[in-house]
Amino acid sequence: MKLITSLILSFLIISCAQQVSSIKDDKDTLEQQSNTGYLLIGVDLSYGLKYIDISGKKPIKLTEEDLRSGKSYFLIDMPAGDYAFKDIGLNHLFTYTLKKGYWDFQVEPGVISYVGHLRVNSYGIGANAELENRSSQALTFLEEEFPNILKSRRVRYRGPGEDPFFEKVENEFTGGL
Amino acid sequence: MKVIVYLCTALLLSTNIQAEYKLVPTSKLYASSYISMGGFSPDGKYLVAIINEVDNRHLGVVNTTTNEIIKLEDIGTARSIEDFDWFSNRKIYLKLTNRGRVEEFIVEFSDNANEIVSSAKGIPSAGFIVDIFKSAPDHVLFARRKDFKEPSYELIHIKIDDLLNKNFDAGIEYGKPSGRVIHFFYDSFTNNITATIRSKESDKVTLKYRKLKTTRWKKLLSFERGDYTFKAVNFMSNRSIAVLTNKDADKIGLYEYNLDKQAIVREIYTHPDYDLTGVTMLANGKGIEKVTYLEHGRYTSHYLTPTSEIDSDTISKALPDMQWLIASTHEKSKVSLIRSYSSYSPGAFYLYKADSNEMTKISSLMPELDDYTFARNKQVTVKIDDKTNIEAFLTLPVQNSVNVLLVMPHGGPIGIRDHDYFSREVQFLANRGFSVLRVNYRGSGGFGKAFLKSGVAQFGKQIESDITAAVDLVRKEHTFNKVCTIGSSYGGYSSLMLPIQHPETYDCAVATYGIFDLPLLFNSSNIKVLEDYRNSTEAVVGKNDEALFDVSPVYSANKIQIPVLLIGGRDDPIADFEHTFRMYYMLDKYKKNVETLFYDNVGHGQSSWKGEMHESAYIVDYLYRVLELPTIYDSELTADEKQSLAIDYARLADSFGFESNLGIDKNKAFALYKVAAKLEHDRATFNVGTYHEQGEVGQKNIDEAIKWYRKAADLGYATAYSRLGNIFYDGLGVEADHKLAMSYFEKAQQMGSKAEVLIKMADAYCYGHGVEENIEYCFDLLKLDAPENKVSRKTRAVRNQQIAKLVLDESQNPEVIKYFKRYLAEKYDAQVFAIEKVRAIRAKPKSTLIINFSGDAINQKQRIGNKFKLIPQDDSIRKDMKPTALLYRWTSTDKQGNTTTRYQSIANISQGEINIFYNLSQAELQPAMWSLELFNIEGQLIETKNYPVNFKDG
Repeated sequence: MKLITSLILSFLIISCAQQVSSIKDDKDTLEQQSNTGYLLIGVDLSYGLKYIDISGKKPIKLTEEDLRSGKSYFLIDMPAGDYAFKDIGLNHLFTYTLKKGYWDFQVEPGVISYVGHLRVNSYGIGANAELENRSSQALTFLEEEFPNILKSRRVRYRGPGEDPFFEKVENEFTGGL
Repeated sequence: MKVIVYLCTALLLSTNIQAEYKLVPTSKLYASSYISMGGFSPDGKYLVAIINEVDNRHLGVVNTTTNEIIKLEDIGTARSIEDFDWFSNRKIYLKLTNRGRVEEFIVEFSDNANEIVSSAKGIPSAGFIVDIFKSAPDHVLFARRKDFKEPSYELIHIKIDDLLNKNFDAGIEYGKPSGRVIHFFYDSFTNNITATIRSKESDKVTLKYRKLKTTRWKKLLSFERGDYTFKAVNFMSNRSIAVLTNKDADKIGLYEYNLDKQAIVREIYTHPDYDLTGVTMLANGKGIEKVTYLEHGRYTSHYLTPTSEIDSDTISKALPDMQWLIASTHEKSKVSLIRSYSSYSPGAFYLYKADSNEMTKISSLMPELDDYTFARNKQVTVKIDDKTNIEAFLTLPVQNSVNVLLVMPHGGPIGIRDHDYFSREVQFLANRGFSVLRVNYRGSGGFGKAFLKSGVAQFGKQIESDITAAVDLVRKEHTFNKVCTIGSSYGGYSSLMLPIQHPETYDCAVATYGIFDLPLLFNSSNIKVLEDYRNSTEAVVGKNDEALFDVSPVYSANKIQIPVLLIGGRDDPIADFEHTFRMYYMLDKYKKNVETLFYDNVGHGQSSWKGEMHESAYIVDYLYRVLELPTIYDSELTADEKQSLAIDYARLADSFGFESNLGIDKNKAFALYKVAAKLEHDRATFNVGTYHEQGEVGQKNIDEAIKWYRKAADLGYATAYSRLGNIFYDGLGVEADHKLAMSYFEKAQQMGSKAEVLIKMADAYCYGHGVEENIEYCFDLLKLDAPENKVSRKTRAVRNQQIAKLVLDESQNPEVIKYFKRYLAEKYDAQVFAIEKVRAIRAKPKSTLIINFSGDAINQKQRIGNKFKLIPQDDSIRKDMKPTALLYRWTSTDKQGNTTTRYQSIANISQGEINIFYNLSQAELQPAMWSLELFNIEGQLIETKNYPVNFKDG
């Protein structure tokens, strides 16, 4: 397996990303014609993390209040564009810097861009991470928690690789989503 | 010191005892082999063995004169066995791993005076033994790690005693080649020592070798590390070495590697299910003696080299219809260890003496299965075309056939194959009445490279065509009422593709740990989209293009017309769980008949016997349900068979009722408890009562609960008597009947129920409920010293609650209150109890609980309370605060002013401080004023603190 992370002391990290939390209300707030979209990220953590930094058009930071151990989702409205997971703060001392080119994703305007589940298994100062495609589980989450937004917005997979699962489901069950 | 514990010397040359057909308990079938055996001691007097028991494992020996199996050292179940071998006549080398850490021991035993005495000494962890240096007794080659900052080893030749005493200066240093040496191996036949060097800068691995006592290291080979293992084992000749690798295969196997060609030239041995973990060369260096692997994490050996001192006819006559191999031979005494095996038996170990041409049985591999009859595989050959034959195995049940054929495609699909060995999975299904068909379709391993390649990119095509040909052939020869598919991994895929392609043939499908969306294989994570990974996927599945959608069950889910059971592991690293969930999502959207078992903490299949038992029992129950077969528990069963089934159903019910890796499903649990209850499982019967009493499923129904509790009591379940006692003593949904309650309590007490029963009986005697009042006896009962009753920490807490009640309940008999106050005064230091005040020293947190409209506490822990500090009357006590106690009582008062006592007990105090908190249950999350009253042991109120529980505004 290629090494796509590297561990460094976190005091070297300087971040000016904006701290964000997931949308709570199931109300579609995207403005028509605006160049924004929804970003849907799943996280699956063996232990809580200090932060996750995402670089791109609008750098953001997911913080420890929302990064407890277990599975959770972040639904965030973002300017459309190219983004990437940049750093994973394991604790106040150590940060995993993610190698460029392996953690990229896009936010598409006007749709919900599901970019994968960031799975982080951390142990002491070590960790391994992978960005996993769990599209059907993400879709189930949206159906249960954000049915109104889902009614008005299409979902697209915009993580690593290509996956037309959402489009095929959409075509198969017209009106069902 | 160890003792002889087991003797098995069943003599046989042609004895073949016919076991009776009966249902086999899952716990007997899904268990480790009782015994695993290694080679002879140099003097031939013993064989080394690993002995597996339910709760422990042991290193042991078998006396080759008496066949006694003798346990030497406990190994425990947490540690995995990597290797064991003889050092000398009474010394054994044992290598274990404990949570990834290697532990090595030398076990020494003596066999004087009819008693075996053994001891084990740990080898220093600063290295590992490279070779038991047999040319120099009691010497070893040891790889020593001198510098812990640098993971590199140097070679030293040292006496065992010096090694155990860490006297490394006494050894001879052979050094190491330049670079980071991560491994050494020594070939005593060629006297070559080989070092494995891993580059710091890259993934490059280099092997260098030399004669042990020379100085110049020569390059053997080098390679880039990839997603595969490549480990040199030993020299096979001057120009070839044996290697363990999975470079070109799924599993790590043993191959011959040619040094001139720098290539693998021959497969020596691969195991169908497990990676090989080790190889042992013959003592003369002229071949491989055995390979080893971990079966369910437990060490298993497979011997490869036969010897010539054997009369094969004699053995074959003694073991009719069985396959057998020579596991080991002691050349001097001409005694051999024989291992038998077959599709219908796990096999046994025998000792064969060439001189007398006689054979004695040492032990079955699974003695608990000796009394059961298992089904034999029937070999089936399917002619596909002029050039291609397909081999298959049909296993028909011995008895009680339900006339259902289960088509079971194997995993892989490329390079994997089914075998004619004893299969627990197949035998379990056959034992429950099912016929099983397994097919070595194109792509299966062991039939040559062309056959192997012909299965590539044949998902949903040639592979399923081969399986269908075998199904058609078998159905021509046998009649089945129903046909279902069942398979894991690729077999899971095939289990759904077959009914998609041939809906007319199949009646149900069980797809486990499967891949169902082929394009997803190329896109399932940021690792799996990388070129290397995609290339390896493409080498099996074919090109990642639109055509793959047509052969993906996810996108043909609407064509599935039969009931489907999907089983998946949420931590599956091979067939990502997304495949299974995606399949479920689509079947559910199409409103198909789909049932699921999604296991937490399970990967690509079960890794524990408990998991195997659960999954197998669930599958059989599923098949009986969806195929509407006459229920197995309605047939005539012996008491043992009934109990076996009952345990299976109770285990299934538990997994949905309160265990955590499937998610709680009370409805499923209730249905399964009822089946187990029908089979007269006492605890399950009791649990059915509990579900009725607590309204876990449907409405609370105390009459039904009592009915089931009485049934459980009749089955001898002591807790049922105590529960009935509680119901009638406290009038829980019925009119209180203290006399009846006492009769239940007495019965429970006689049967050794939990000591809570004694506490309830004490209450009755103190207050004269249903019996004549007797304070002394009440007090005696509260001592909880009746030996037949189980006392736990929890029970003692209940006793404290009872004593607090007896002291604080002023509405009751004043004599009782006085009696127990006196008891407390005697038990605790009365002087310290002159304390009259306490002070809350952490007042803010947890003092008030706010709940929102849905009734969930905002405060996650849903608890109220404080930390309190005792304030003694004078400073002398403060300086010398002795352990003491307080009585306390929690009450709640609702808006209508009704006050309820919620909890009262005794709090033991040391250091003058005490935490008293109350965790509110979901039902208690109602607006109310909660109060905590603190009393000294004389029952005087010394503090009251209030905790309002309110709705959140807005």
